[in-house]
Amino acid sequence: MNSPLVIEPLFYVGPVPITQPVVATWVIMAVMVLFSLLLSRHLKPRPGRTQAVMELITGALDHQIEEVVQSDPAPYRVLIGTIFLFVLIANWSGMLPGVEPPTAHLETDAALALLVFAATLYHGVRSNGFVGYLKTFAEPTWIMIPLNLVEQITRTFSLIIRLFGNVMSGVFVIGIMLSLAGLLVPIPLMALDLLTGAVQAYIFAILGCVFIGAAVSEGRDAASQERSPS
Amino acid sequence: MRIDWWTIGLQTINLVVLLWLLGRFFFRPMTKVVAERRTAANEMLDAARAAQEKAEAATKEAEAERQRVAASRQEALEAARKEAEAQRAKLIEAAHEEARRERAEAEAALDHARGQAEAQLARQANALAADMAARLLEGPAAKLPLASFLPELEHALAALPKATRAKLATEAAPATLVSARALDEAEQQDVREALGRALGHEATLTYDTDLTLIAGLQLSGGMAVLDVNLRADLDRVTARLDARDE
Repeated sequence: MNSPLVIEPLFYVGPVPITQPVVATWVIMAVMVLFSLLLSRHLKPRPGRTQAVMELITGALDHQIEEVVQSDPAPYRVLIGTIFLFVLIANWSGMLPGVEPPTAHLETDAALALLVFAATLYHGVRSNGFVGYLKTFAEPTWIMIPLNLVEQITRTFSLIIRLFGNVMSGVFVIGIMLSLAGLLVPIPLMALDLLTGAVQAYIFAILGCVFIGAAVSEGRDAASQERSPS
Repeated sequence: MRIDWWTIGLQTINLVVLLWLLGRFFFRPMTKVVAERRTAANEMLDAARAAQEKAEAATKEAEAERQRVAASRQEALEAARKEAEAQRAKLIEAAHEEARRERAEAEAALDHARGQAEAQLARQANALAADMAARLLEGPAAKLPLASFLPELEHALAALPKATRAKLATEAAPATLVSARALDEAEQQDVREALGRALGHEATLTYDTDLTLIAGLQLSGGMAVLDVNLRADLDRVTARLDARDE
């Protein structure tokens, strides 16, 4: 078994090495987009079973986002929804023989966390303005500026490490069990891995939502606090 | 440990592309269809509410119509009842009128019958009274002298037209003198003399008797009949009484 921290290129496109997580991500993307195309072509006012399940998922996502952000979920729906669905499918893709989940590699998790980080900045600036967003780093006092800056970095890293550690460990445990105990023994661990994958997808999406919501609402809170003494 | 920056970059690009693709082909259609369904549901609810309001209005209208029909039916029934009562009262009045008329007719017929019966009874009573008077007078009247009837006979002859007197009791046409009893010769002579005075010529007579005359004389000849006797008096009295009782 190779080290999870090292990935070997499968092939090169010019100078660009194409690794296994990238190919797996392409396949997952293709599956998701094909499924979306098929579904969107057969959307009906009276939904079928598949459409009803998808509507249920999007409705639940909207509900979660609304609860966390305390505002209209529409601007965050695509980002949080895509992250949740991708992470979920990527985590569960490890159940297929010969497939290693892209999220079991640090690079994919880093790309996901990078997206969340960028979205936090974008929505923070969009809601509060550039200066207003910068001011949120001086809350509650300017002494907190270094800590707040470090927090931005560390919580992004915590996202990466949490997802990477959980998925990678699951893959490794199943791999080790397979190499040691044969065919049927890893099944309970695989079931557990399904649960872990779903929980991690949910945690990643919700934490991303919380970070964005915090960036949006901190500015709002600071502005209201500034207004109230005057 | 080695971080593959190419992979991080490619995965970031992949995720951005996935974001765009899913946003376009999954979330947007899903949101759209849900919104459309919500709009359609709201429209259906509005339509259902409108239909319900319409139905309620129609129900109210129908109820009002039913009440109007019931009221007109009641009015028609009331009018028919009044008409029937008026007809009944009219029929009863006509029946009463008919009964009154028939009763009046019956009473009139009864009165007429009673009057006729009373008249009949009176006539019978008058006849009985005349009969009784005749029987009572039979005895005393037989004793009355003939001479007591002669002046009256003369007076009656005088009342006759002269031409009649001239033709009465002539030889060519003798008159008949009826008396209640047979007259003796002297009495016949007295009669002839008295008649001769009254007629202006000698009277030629035949004699006869009739007990029903009671007393007195009856002279008949030609077209004239002169009654000077009690029977004739009684008959006249009876006739007058009958005429009074009619």
